[in-house]
Amino acid sequence: MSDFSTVDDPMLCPVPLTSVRVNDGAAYHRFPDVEAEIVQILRSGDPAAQLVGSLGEFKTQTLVYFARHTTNRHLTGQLIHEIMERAAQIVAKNCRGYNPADVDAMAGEVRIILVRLLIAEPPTRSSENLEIDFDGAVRQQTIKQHRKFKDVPKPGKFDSASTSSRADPIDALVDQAPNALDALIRKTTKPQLRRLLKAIKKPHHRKAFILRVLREWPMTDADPSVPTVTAYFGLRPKQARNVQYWIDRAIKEMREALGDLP
Amino acid sequence: MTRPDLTFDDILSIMNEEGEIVPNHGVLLAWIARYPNFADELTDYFAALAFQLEEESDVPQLDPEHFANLAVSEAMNLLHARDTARDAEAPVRLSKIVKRAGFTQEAVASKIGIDLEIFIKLDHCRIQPIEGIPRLLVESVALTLQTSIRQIWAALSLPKLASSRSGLLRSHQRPQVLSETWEEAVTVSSMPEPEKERWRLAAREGTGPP
Repeated sequence: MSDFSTVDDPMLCPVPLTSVRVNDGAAYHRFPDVEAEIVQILRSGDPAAQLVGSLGEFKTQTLVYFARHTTNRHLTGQLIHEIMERAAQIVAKNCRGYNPADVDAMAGEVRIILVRLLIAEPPTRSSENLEIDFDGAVRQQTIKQHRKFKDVPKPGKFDSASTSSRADPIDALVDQAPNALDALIRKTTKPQLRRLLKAIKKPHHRKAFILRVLREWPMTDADPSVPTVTAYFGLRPKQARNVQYWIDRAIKEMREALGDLP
Repeated sequence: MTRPDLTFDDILSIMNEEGEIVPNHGVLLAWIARYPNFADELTDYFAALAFQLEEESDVPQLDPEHFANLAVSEAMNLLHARDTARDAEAPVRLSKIVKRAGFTQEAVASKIGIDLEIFIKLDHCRIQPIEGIPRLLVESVALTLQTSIRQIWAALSLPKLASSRSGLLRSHQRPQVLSETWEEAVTVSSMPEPEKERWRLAAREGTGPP
């Protein structure tokens, strides 16, 4: 007797998902290879033994399905252990650039969310998503946590150019910026550019460069509801010059690093 | 206008439905236009995604074994709390538990290998005494409906129910609800003889609430 499948289907088919896509109203469904793996286990005669015997060989989505559809608590525990060991790798990969304490804190938050999603009753759109794109769902939950650990420079701690009344060197930098960027982009490939980003010493300089240059965020906007680089760092529009200085510093450091490249 | 029942996690799932997200400003504006209530969350999410996509530093240390052990412990605590809450509920009829689990009575009867007639008698608590009902049957029902064995025994212990109220009203005699023993119910059922014998054997192996 199996407790994993729909009881009214003699062919032992997996229990279907219940959510529907927002765009076209189509029902959520697992990928065919996952469905096939579930069916193969259901028809093995002893799904629990089959699962425990080759735990590491099955797709994570398959393990999520069985973790949800068994009343055998010991098996649930074994499945969740395997699923979460795999999740840990994805969480770590998406916490690059954070200090160990922040990584631990984010991992703790993601762990709690994932456990709740794994045993959600009744199922939700997010919980069923784990049976479709497990890696993507864990990545999203990890990246979602980053906002709590957003590292923005505190007011008054900005490294700007000059406050003297003499001609402000930042103006010169801003003027030179497009040329410097052009020169940088001309000399590098995209993977190289990514490696060069490591050469930027200050994280907020790198972030400003990524948003403004690579992701085309405007520095400021007359409409306050439009996301801008200055708003991201909690700055007023008139402080755009500070951010421009960060970006120029970033470009300078990347160009220096480029000169060091073989 | 964002649907009021949507959470930011729903928005993330909808993003997944639509494929890979490129965290450019134009794409961000399009998502904010669709879900303006989540503008702040979307902005931070897109920025964080943009930073992670360009991140070249080493993957930080995170002990998967420790991470998984804590998760199992949390999951077991939640499941235990859920089971306890379910057991504490007032007993309900078997048919209600079946409906709540999203099944039909026919499907459950077929799954555990009894005919619908016996299942209805069980639902109406007309198989008496319950001390004669095989434990294997109750365990199978609990497993199928993903509920506790205790809840199934509680459902079988409720007062007897007539099969038809109109039948009772037509009766000239004092209304009474008849009951059968497990053996009698099996004997008069439409199950094939080998199935009947299987359930008699199950009764010999153990009956009644633990």
